[in-house]
Amino acid sequence: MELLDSLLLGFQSAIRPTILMYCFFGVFLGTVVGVLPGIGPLAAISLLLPITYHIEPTAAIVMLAGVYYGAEYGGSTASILLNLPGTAANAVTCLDGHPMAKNGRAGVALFIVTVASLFGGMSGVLAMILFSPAIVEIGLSFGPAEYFSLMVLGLVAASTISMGSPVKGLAMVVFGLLLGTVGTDINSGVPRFDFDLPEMMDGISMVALAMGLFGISEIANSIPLSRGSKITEKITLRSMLPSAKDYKDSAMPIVRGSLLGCFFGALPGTGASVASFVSYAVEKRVAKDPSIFGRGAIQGVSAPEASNNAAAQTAFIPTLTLGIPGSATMALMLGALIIHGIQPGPMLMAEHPEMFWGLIISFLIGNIILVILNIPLIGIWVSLLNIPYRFLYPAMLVFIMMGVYSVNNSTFDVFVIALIGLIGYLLAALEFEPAPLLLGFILGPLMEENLRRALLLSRGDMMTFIDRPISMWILVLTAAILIWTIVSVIRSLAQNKKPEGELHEDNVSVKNAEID
Amino acid sequence: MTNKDYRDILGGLLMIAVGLFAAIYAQRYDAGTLQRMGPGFFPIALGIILAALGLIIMIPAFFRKGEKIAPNWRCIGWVTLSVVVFGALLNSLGLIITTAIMTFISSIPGVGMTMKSRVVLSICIAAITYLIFSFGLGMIIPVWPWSY
Repeated sequence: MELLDSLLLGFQSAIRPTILMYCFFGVFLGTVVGVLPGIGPLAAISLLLPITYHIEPTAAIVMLAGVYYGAEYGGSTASILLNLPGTAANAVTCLDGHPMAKNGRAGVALFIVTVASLFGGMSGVLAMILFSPAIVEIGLSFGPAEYFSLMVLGLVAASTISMGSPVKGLAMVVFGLLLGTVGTDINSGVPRFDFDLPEMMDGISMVALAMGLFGISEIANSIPLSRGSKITEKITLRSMLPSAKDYKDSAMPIVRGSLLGCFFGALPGTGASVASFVSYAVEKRVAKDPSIFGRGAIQGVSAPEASNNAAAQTAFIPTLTLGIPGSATMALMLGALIIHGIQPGPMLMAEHPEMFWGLIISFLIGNIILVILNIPLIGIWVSLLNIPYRFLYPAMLVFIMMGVYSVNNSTFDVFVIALIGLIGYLLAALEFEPAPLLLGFILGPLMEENLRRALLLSRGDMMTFIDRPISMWILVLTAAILIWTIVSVIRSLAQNKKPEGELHEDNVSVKNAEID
Repeated sequence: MTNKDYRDILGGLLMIAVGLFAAIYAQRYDAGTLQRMGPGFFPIALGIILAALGLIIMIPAFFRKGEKIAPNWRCIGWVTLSVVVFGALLNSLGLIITTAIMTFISSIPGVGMTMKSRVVLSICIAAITYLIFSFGLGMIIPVWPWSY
């Protein structure tokens, strides 16, 4: 069977010592980054981008992916112990995780979320294995018009569904697209917006933008948040084991969470955060006694954690099969692939099967490594969390500097990142989300290319986007989202309230968090 | 609370400014036709869209109460300064000294730090940075003022 052959190929590829090493490094770093509040997988991935230039592409993407889904494992640790989410998707885990810790059940919570994360992650991988070939088939019939429409859908969805005002989200997307045009235009060779500076010929560095927006800006925001309580509980292995009732109570939430996560992860514009919020809401609605939520209900912890890990895996599906990133983080992965000269899209599976399937198998291996990291080694993470932030963040800043400098050995990039950090901070103070900007920036050149090609093929006929059926349906969906957004914006304006996005959870502090 | 939503007014204004700048500046690049898009087409179109979105953000804000804008200038100021200092001094003073200075400056807004702890932190981080990047990863980077 062809699938079995592919899996075997992937296995051979993933078992290589180099790949295993980078997989381990990635998930380890991902856990660290997930555990530490204030820095997330997006920042870590952009920091690692320069390092990936020197290693083979499969190892690079395995490592970066490891950081991504590894962070979803570790992020729950700070949520449970400190009521501070490690990543945006773990915000929901605070709601019931921290009360569980206060009830002396921190160990059990940590254990169950790891189990839930494992199940969710594995479901996501299964979904990838089952559905990717089919999606690639469809993708092969896509032309530039379809790609353009799909990217429009992705950007609109990403900006309107996440937190914050949808109009501002769209504005940030467009701003990002504009920033993407800076540099030498591939088609004509004309340098755009270069202001006669030779360093601007290659455009704004992706690393500088990502690190400036999500590193510097995040850090500056996190400094005043002093972490009050130090963690005093000793988490022993025995205290972590859940009771039979805990297992029984968590079983269906984990299954439901995983299914939701698989679905939302694959959609553009939604990811682990949305998946975890929706999953929590579903559990609350489905529960026999909803009043247990918010006070240490194990369902409120196992379902969201299963869903965010499932979503983190399935988020790779559109990126790897169609070349359409569903979120800013996925866009960075896409960027990493492009830097290595690999064209993501339906041809990826055919041209680089050992990379495609090797990556999927590495997910399986990575998930298992993460269980080992998160249960027996939980003590390491607890002591990591006890390091005061004021010692940690200067080190993080220095690492960011080294990362940016190392791309071009250029101090110009350092100045760029300072400027972007400042602008990003100000924009955040004005309540503009940074994630849509990064998404627009990375997709900008791709979108322009596809627009140009589509119009070239249609000889300047704009109707081509509607004449071609797949493109038309995608645009119809986009229009539906836009209309629904406009309606809700108008409604909130009529009530003289500020227009907010879907995910405005008032009882969890997720200020300036990275929405994947 | 302020009586107009200054946050969105300012935000909208910013978007309008960026959009108009892009649309006008990009006129120098050939926009081309729909069939053969030139380098100017995309930026001009995007600039117009951004300016329009800025308008949509700004206008309702005049009729709405808003929160005060409260950026923490101290935090972002010192952090940004430390980055700029790093960029300016790296090639002249070398990795170790520049990292130490940068760490010191960036730790200024840190809550509950004494001068002594800042100095100690700066030395430690400079040492760790040297070990990881110069020694461990083998990055080519001037270490001392007299290197290269």
